[in-house]
Amino acid sequence: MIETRNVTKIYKLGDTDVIGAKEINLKIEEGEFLSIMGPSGSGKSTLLYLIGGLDKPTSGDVLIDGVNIVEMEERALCEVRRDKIGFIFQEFNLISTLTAIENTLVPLIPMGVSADEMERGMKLLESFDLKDRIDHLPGQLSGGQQQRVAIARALINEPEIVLADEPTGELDTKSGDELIQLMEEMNRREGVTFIIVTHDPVVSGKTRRTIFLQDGMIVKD
Amino acid sequence: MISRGRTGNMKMRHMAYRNLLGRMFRTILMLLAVAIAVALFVGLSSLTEGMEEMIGGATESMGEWGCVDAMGEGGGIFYGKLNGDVGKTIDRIPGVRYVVPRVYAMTELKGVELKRPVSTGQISGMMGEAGGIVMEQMVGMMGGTAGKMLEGKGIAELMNSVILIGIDPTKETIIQSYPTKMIEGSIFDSPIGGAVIGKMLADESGLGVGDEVRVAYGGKRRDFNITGIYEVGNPLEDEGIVVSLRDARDLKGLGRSEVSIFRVIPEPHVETGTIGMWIKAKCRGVSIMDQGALMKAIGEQIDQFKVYEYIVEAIVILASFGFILVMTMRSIAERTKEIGTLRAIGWQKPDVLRLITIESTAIAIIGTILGIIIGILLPYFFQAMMPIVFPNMIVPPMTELTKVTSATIIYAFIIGCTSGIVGGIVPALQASEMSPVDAFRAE
Ligand SMILES: Nc1ncnc2c1ncn2[C@@H]1O[C@H](COP(=O)(O)OP(=O)(O)OP(=O)(O)O)[C@@H](O)[C@H]1O
Ligand SMILES: [Mg+2]
Repeated sequence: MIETRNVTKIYKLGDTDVIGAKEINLKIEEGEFLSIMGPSGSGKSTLLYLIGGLDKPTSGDVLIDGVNIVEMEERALCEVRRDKIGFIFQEFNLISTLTAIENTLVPLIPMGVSADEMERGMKLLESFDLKDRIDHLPGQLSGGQQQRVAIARALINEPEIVLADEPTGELDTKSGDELIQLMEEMNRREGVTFIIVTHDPVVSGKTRRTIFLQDGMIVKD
Repeated sequence: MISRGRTGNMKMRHMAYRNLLGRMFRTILMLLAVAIAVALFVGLSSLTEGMEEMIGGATESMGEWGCVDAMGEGGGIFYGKLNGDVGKTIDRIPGVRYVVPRVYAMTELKGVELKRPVSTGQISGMMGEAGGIVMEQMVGMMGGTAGKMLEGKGIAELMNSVILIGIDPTKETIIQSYPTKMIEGSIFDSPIGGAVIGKMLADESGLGVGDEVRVAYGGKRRDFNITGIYEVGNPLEDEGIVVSLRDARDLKGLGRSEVSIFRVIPEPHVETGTIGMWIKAKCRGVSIMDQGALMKAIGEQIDQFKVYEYIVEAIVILASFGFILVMTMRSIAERTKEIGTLRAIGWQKPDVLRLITIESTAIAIIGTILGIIIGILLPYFFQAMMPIVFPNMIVPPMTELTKVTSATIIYAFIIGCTSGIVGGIVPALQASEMSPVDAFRAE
């Protein structure tokens, strides 16, 4: 479960304050399939990063399973990101020198990859229709395929929450549809919470709950 | 296919290698940066070491005492001559300990093909400034006309020339010269027909103890029986042939008591300069070559050269360090997003550092080894390439002039590895300190 309490994020740009998030109060239950919408600059990414522990709010608390991650030190926060959260980015952010399977396993590399984990990575890629592509580099894959590898990477640690920042932004409609379908399936089958930032009403139409942001504030839930 | 090792390091290393191989162009550039710096260091260091050794040998070969050479004015050591009376006069000068007569002649060996890269004179020629003074002094020693005569000679002729030195073995033994520096056989005991040759000449000619050798001077020819090989550590002398005073006079057509020079050894604590002035005052038509002063001048030149060398080395090291730093910083900037991604998906700061440390260590070590190999091969490369690029130039014996010491190798390792590793880690530290969000926005 994710809970934000009066979360405010103010970026300082010289003398001016830019509001990234303003008094956000949110409760997201386990297993939700949720989208965040809003115009550019409304603070969607900011909110996602705050929930994911990539950035700290100026004030307020972010609780994941009842634990306040705002007070956590960097090291522990890193472990939360590794074990409980998966990230998907608009530009895929795969490591260009590593193959699909290697990219899938990247979060595990610092601790060493076991044979079981290896097996799991393979299965994930297989179930994402990438069986023939496991040894391909990102440059040899289509955008849709790359984003599917990114989802496999986000899921390799069996996280409770997957945070996706405009995952279909770089994809054509068909690949985008397939991708959302895939996420939906993982949500249904494994009960993984998905929070998807998107501009696309079609994408948000497929989620069960949509949050609208404007100027860093929730305007509709 | 990914390797199935299970230790954290195995995987990290694997990823590091993939990164290095996957960004081949950048990897090669960084390898070259390290290798070039190390190669220049090794090349420069071994050149100084080699020259130092050579000069050290030359100084040593002169014995523990400094000495003054007295020679006929205008003719230098090869074309001037002194009467025996001059020797007697010098011997009476207070402070003179020994007077050793020598005859020098620029001769040619007949029926022998010398395999040498260069004649002794040119060795010093390529030594830059330090060589300059040696050359100058040598031309001085040989006298103006002699210098011109040598210049007039074709290179091929010059290349086959050998310095012949006529000596009195007893006196040379006292000043610990050739007779005490035999490495094979022994000094000739008969005053007629015996010769010892320098080690370099032996190597270049293939001549050995027991061989006969025919020496030509002007129209004259004489056969000598080689009884031994000496090594004094000075290429000027080690490329020579030493015979008895009598044979040398005979070959050169000198009179009974005539010599080319008198080498004058002063009593301990007597300055060579003082002796030189005395000789000038007492004997007419004699010019002085103060060997002690010459060696001192050469030593100073070498020191000067070493200062230049250190400056060049420092610049080389700094430049390569800067280059490595800039290269890594650029590559880290390129990889900021990647590092941000790794941090976002749960990599700790030390994990990122570990990855980049492995990468730069691999580059540093491989680059250093490459650089050392290139640095050692550099003289051979020059020697092989010079005749192709400059067909008319005499190739200096680079391989003999350079000396690779273990200290050079160790320093090269330290310099190459530290600059490679530090150059890699400093920007990596910076990048891993960045928050993932900043890293994403850094594009
Ligand atoms: N590091 C930063 N420094 C200063 N201002 C920032 C920073 N990050 C975000 N902002 C500002 O905060 C506001 C919210 O930005 P955010 O990236 O969250 O918007 P977004 O809804 O994700 O927009 P987009 O749809 O374009 O991705 C914007 O006005 C942005 O300029
Ligand atoms: Mg955004």
